[in-house]
Amino acid sequence: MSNYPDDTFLARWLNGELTEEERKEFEKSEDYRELNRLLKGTEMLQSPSFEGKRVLSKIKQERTREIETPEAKTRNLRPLFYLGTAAAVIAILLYFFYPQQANMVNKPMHLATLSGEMESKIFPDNSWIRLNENSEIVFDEKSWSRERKVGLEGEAYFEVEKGAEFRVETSFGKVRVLGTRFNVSTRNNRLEVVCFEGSVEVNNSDESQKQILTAGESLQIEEDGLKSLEATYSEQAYPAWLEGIYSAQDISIKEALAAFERIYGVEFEIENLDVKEIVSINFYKNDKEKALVQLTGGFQAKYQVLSPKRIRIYRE
Amino acid sequence: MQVQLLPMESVESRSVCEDVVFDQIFQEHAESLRNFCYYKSGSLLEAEDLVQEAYIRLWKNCAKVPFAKAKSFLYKVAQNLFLHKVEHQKVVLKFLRRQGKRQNIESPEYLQEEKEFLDRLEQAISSLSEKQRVVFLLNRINGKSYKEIAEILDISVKSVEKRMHRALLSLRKLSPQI
Repeated sequence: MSNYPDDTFLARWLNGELTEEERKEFEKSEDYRELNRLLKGTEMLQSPSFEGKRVLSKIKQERTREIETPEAKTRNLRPLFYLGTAAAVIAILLYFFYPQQANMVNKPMHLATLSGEMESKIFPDNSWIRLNENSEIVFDEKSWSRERKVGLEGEAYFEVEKGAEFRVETSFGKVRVLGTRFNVSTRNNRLEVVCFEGSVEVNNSDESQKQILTAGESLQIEEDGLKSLEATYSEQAYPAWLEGIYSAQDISIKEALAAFERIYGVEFEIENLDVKEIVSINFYKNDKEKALVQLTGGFQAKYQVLSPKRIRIYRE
Repeated sequence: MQVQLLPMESVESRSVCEDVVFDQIFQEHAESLRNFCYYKSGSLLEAEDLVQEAYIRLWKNCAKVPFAKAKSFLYKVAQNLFLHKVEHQKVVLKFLRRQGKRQNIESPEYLQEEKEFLDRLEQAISSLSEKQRVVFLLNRINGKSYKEIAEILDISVKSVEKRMHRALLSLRKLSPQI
């Protein structure tokens, strides 16, 4: 029995929610015997022991330390410990030296990523941003309590705590929210906003048009204004790139190749391929070989690696 | 942990900033949260760090987070912190083994076989995708209901069921080698 009537069948079996008939039928199958064997085994497993007392006392120590030295708060970089790159180092330097200069000028701060890098930024109100590669944000933490505003170029995922208006400004338009989760991208010469929770308002750059998105909806703005409102990502709780997969629906082959070139720092030589064709692609961002297979498989093309930086892509 | 649990109604109206209330929230949720983080990350150290950090943030925000929201706050913070870590190593989960009741009357060969079976099972579970693994383990090892898991992950019960279905399909595929 390898064909199930729906995609929750086994979950319902496990929970004793099948009808008598369904259950009897299923219990005749090889899948049933095998799964039963594995589930019996799983019953032998227990989660590792937890030394609550020790952990709680560590938490209390940390708490006391933070009360005694309030400035330690800004140094709490542990969640961001992979800040290992040049861009990140600059960002940290800014981060630490900024307070001393702040008395004089209210300089905005930049955080930028290079190819293959990602960054995170947690704001004082616990709102946070995950910055995809080749992207940059500008923000002013000093005035955060008065105005929550971020300039963006590239792509970023936002989780905004409830509160006053939170604004994302791009060269293609603005996004305004109160408290929600959403993704903003300015790749491929257009603004694309996907809302995962709550609602967001998207304005074109001269604010002559606006559109409200609710969870599961996405919107694209080309340079000439608001274009389409369509529901994508409906089942997804997060944008795919957060988990190391590049994913795009309904883009041209040209855009798909450009994304791949950007991520892996390669160049394609295109042969016998209509780059205007619309495709949907997914590929790994950390495994070039596999990603090439996934990419070209997405539109039935073949490839030949000419040199580490040059790849021929063609159809026969 | 020797913490006297307070009756529900007396806690609900009190502030998370109070030590007794904070301790109770730790007592109630810390171990589950640690397991959840362990299933996600595959590292006990990392899981413990996430738990610590989540509770410290709860403490910092204790004036703003009502008692009833503390649990979802903790899970949300832990998941956010986890997302911040780009490099996730290959997950290798290790579990404690329950002593079979009939253990002492089984032959050494049988016990050895059983141990090897459980080793392979652990490996197979570790190799599930994160989403499948977390749902499978929270339900099977920690007895959390689909509804409870849906609340923790902030997704629908239907999505939990889909993940569980897929987890079982994946295990079934691996079963010839287990």
